[in-house]
Amino acid sequence: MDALHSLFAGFETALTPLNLLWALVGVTLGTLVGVLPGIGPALTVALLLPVTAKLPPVSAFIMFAGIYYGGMFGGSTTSILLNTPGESSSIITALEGNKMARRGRAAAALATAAIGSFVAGTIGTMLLTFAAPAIADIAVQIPPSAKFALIMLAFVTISATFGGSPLRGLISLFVGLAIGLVGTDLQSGQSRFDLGRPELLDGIDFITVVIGLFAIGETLYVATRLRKDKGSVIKLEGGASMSRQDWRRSWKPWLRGTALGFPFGAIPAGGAEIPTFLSYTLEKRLTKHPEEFGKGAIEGVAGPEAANNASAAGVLVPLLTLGLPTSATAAILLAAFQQYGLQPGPLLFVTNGDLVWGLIASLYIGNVMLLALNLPLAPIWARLLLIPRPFLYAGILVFSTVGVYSLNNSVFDLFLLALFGVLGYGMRRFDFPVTPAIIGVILGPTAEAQFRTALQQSNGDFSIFARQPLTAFILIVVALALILPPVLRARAARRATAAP
Amino acid sequence: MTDVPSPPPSTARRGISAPDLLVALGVTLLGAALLLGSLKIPFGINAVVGPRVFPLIVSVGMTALGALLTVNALRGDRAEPAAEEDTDPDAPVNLGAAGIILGGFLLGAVLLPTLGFVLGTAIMYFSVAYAFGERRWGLMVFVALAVALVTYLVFTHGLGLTLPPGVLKGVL
Amino acid sequence: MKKVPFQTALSLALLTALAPLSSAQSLNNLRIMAPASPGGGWDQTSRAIQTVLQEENLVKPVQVFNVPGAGGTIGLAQLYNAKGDGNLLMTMGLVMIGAIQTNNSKVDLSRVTPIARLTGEYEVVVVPAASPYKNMKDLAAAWKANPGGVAFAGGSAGGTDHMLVGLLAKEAGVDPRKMNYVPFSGGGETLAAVLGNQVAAGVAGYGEFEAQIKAGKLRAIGISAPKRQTGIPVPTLKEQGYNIDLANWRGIVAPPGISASEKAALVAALDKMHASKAWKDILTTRNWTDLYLSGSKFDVYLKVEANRTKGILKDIGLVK
Repeated sequence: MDALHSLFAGFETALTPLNLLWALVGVTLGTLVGVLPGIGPALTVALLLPVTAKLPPVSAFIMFAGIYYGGMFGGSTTSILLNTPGESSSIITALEGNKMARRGRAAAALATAAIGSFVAGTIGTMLLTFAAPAIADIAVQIPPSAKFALIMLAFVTISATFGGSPLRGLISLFVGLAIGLVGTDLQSGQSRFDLGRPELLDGIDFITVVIGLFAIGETLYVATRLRKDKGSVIKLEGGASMSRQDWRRSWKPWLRGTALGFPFGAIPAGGAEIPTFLSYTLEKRLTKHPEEFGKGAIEGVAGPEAANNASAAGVLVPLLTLGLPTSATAAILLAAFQQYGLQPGPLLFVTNGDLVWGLIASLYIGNVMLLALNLPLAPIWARLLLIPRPFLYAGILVFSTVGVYSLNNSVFDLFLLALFGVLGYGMRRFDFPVTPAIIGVILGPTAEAQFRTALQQSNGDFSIFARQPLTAFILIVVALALILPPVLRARAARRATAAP
Repeated sequence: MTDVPSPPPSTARRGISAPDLLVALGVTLLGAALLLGSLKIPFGINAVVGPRVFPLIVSVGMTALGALLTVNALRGDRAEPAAEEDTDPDAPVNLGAAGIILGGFLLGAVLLPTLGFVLGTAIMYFSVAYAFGERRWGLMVFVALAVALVTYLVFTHGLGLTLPPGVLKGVL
Repeated sequence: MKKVPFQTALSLALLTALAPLSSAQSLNNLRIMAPASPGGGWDQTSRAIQTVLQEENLVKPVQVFNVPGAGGTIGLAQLYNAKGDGNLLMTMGLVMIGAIQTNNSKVDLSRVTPIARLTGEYEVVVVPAASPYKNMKDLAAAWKANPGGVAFAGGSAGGTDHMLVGLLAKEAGVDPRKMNYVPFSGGGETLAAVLGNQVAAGVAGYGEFEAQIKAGKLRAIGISAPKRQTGIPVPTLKEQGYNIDLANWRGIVAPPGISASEKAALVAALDKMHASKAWKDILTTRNWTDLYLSGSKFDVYLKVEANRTKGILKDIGLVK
């Protein structure tokens, strides 16, 4: 129980009034920047780095940890209320969460997101406390071929999940894949589809695509066929918090989401996106209320939000134990360690135990603070939707514009945003689901990179996809997911015709 | 997960929908354009799988899917516009409103570096509110400027980002 | 200490005479462009310069702004547009020289005003602890026998890591076009690939591998420095018979077309910054190697480095 002893020592460090204050500053700041689209915890920590150079490292890291977890909590807020996901990991939350909000259940959606984040964050932090080195050792062994297989699994389950027409869903996915191809190919150094514009060499930021397709596309679409009969504001229905039934429907998705999210966070290049996608499809399969999916099912918020936060905790495992950043925010946190001349890795627990354990203890404290901060805020945030529609939609548009503009300080990005807005409008008008396109943009480049890396490492030997046990297993699941549904449907159809 | 049944063969809906056909042809053309572009990508360094392979898969896939969609459109398939909470499926389609928003957005974007962030985004805000039917001019101007100004201050002073001050340089 | 060429010495002397006037006028409101996103190397360098210049009362105020994109070439294009602006600086480095070549950038560094090279980091070649290769010779022998079978992990194509492997290949007698280089988009993926025994060797800046080398999970078999570095117990590639000197350096330049006195004022400010204790402290805590070089020496260095980079990238097959 060495870990337990060290953890208590960590709490002693983290519970000093001054460090509690820094934790509070961190979680508040994190929640705020999480709410802003495009501005995430990574950018916030980066901007704060020079400012915090004067703080003692323990205090600075307690604040950074607060920003990191806070950003994950805050990211769901704009997804749910405004259908404007600020981070790639909260895109799925927007699907059911915004539908819930439009039905007047914003507060319940925000509450299940907050509690789910708390549950996942706490369980994740516990795993980090007691099993970090072991998990990290396993995580680096996952080969690129297995990661590629996992993404294939995500593609297959997702294309079956969204949209009524598989053809339209697939076209949307391919549009996303094509957008993801733009820019310099890191594997070969060749630029692709850059149309001669240097701005396109780094590819198109998914934030621009997401905000264009979701927020701008929807604003344009709603403007063309505005409902005139109804009042111009959304009614808030139901209690301000979760009902008993909401709790009953939420707790299992929270736990399942956590189980999916944590390991993905710990894998290099695993990320928070795949587990949120998988959690959503899983909850859709398992729910007792399939008719509510697409119209605001609470499971579709609870699961992905938990997955998102659990992966945030998972990311800290390889960062602290191996010095291995697996996400953008982790890379910045690594830079923060280096600013103090510290090198995360196996020795950090020995040389700077007080700092590491103080940081871990502050994660528990930060989670409690975030829950205390976000639950009472939920009904207040929900009242945002009482703003009359002209001002609400105008606000969403300006808000998204700032997020996209501040990425690169470039007007070119705003033109791209308008282009994707028009595309989003067209997709709504012609019944193409938007989500597969987003998934294509995010996962397409990763799929390509992992596939090519796998073959490069094996020097062109394709048999690794069959020889590597984990890869082979996942690919068999993918094949079954492709073959089984049509076969089952055909059998059901035959039975239906045989016994009319 | 079931296929959407093609629209019932009612006499009013049998004809080919021109917009649907155009979209289907557009997807096919996009696939073909991507295919041409893919063939122009140089090979670069020694690699087992070069930079052309995935673009080729994507463009061939897109062309094939576009062709399928075209066939469906020629058979008389047509897309049902999405239903959103704030939309009325029976209302007359008002493309002008979308035009105003888009125009206002592009105008704001073009003027943003010279006029500055606050005025640029205020133009965007104003045009959306107008397109959504708001006509209280004074209120619109006030809210647009206030929202833009607060956002500017939060981002520049709160987060330390650099946004163009434009004509308000020195005032802010 | 350093030999100062006559011309610079003259202009410096002239400048010292005029210093109270000109530097007071021109070196206010300095702006430093970091041609990358916040948090990266160029951003950190820019903000470190900002801190020291202000704390040492050399220039006040100093503002840092970010223009990310395309390996810094978008920022470089903006620097061209600010022609003649004596109050603007841009951080840059070896990575930008590479990006100019691989991106076919319309602008290059031939017309900018070089100010100084500041810091850098040497590259190390590592193998997993369990690897049969004990030194660079072992690895090179296996590599020569089977160029495709020995996979090197490193950063994205055309970056410093890739350049080092290209240089190594030539020195080891391997055709750079036949080598098996596995590029990762960063974020520690190179480290993971080496730790997971998925590649034969990995290449990155020393800092990225330091913790694992010290913990004994990775074996460093060579560093790209001209001589052994204090505090880094790794043999150089040079002493093992591979004539390689490559640093991922970072420097600072001003827009094209600024006057000689403006340039001299900027160089003088950076010289003073480099001499300050505050700067030395930053170098120590951040583990940055001091590679300071200013004035006309840096002018020459920049040209030499651009030619060398072009040569390496040609050998690898990235540039025609």
